[in-house]
Amino acid sequence: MQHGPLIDCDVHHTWARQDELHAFMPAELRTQLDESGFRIRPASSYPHTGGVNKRLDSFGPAGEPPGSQYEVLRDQLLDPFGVSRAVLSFDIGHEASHPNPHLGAAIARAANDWSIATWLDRDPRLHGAVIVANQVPEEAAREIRRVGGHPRMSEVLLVAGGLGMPLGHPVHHPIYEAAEELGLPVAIHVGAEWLPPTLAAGGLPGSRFEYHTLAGQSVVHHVTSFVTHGVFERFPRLRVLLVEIGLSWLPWLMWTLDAAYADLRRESPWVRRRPSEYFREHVWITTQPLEMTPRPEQLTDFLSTVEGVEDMLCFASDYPHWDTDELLYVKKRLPAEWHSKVFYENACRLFDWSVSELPAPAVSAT
Amino acid sequence: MSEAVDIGAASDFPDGAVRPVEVRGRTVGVLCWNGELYAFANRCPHMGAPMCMARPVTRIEARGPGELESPAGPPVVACPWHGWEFSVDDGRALADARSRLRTYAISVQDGRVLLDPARHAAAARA
Repeated sequence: MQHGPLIDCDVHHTWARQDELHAFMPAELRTQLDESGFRIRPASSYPHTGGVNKRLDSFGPAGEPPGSQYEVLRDQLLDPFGVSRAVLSFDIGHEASHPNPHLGAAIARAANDWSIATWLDRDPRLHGAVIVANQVPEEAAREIRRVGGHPRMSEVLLVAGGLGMPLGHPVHHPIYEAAEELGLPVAIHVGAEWLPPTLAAGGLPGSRFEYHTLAGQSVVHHVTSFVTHGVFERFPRLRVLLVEIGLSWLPWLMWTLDAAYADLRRESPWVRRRPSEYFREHVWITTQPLEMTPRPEQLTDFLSTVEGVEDMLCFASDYPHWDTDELLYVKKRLPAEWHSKVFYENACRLFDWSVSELPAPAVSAT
Repeated sequence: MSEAVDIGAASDFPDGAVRPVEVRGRTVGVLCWNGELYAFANRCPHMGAPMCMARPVTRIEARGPGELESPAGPPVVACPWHGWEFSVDDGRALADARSRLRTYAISVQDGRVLLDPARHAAAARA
């Protein structure tokens, strides 16, 4: 059994009560929200059989929302699994893409300040994400430059596409300019294309089953648009992490993009390289949700048709969401020769961390 | 010794069009572009499309995303099936320099067009 560091690239933290966030907002906005009773986190779009889209064992001791109590997160994830570093990514940050751009920007600023003030200093293993209101890209760039230099802020987080445009569209480029300037990777997290009715290509899913199965479609489109709009040509040092969309779409997209690239070069000659080359150089993908093929090797054999795929994968638990991938389950389903890359080396390359500087795990379970 | 074949008068090859000619049992596409002649195989290296039906098109490049430019240089022929673009001077595909359309040495002497099916165009110009 391999022992070594473990980096979890997708852990969802949250406030126990909305007024925790209000404390980081301007007084006038606080007044508006307090007086109106407005809930900035919309109700779930689809019922969940468990009543909530979280592990039912992850509530706080007094019933606090899952992900809101550091001690529970530490005791359920960080310590038992020997996590060296965990990237905290809100639950799930779509609040910042509210159609009211001023409210969205204020939520982003407050959420980042709240995260820094109440979480990051509690444990050296915790790192944060800069959530931004991407519906106003210049504002998002300002927020990245405001807090992205904090030593424990490790990525820029995009969740919903606030403008309803693919995230590679030039309108979003100020975000990538700022991220590249600060050396921060951009994480694109699935799940919040629900503000406009663009949840799935065929229309509105009629159930959580349908939505959950198809939720990755939008991120596949987003990363495609990064290639087609020449984002990696314009920002050659940009790194992108795709979070929670699974893996088995990757060979299909790489082959299809590579074929279409040669056919349609004339339309987009700024795409100077095969799309699969851009992916290998600029794109990382989290393992969760790991597809449950009948035999583990069916997935890895299929993924291995993409040369170097094991260098693109980063472990993520998605704790405390209901569809979390447990560490030992992931270990059993991936080849042992991939483990050190998936569990920490690839993430270190993504976040520009030194393996030797990772905190020693309290208990090593890898 | 040159193995060049006389394939006709220079006036037989109008500017801006690809004309198929038979040379020693193979079909070759001949393009006249701005008075210069180029010759290439009638088979796209991608999937074998008939390149004598290729469209000569202006070379289009990009300075950056959304910034098109049309640099001076040899013209490009676009495959009639998938649109792959090949530079007619050395046959390289613009999308992937590893893929090449076969080209042939071609010249004009005393008003006659001479094509050497045994020599590549790039070698002839070297």
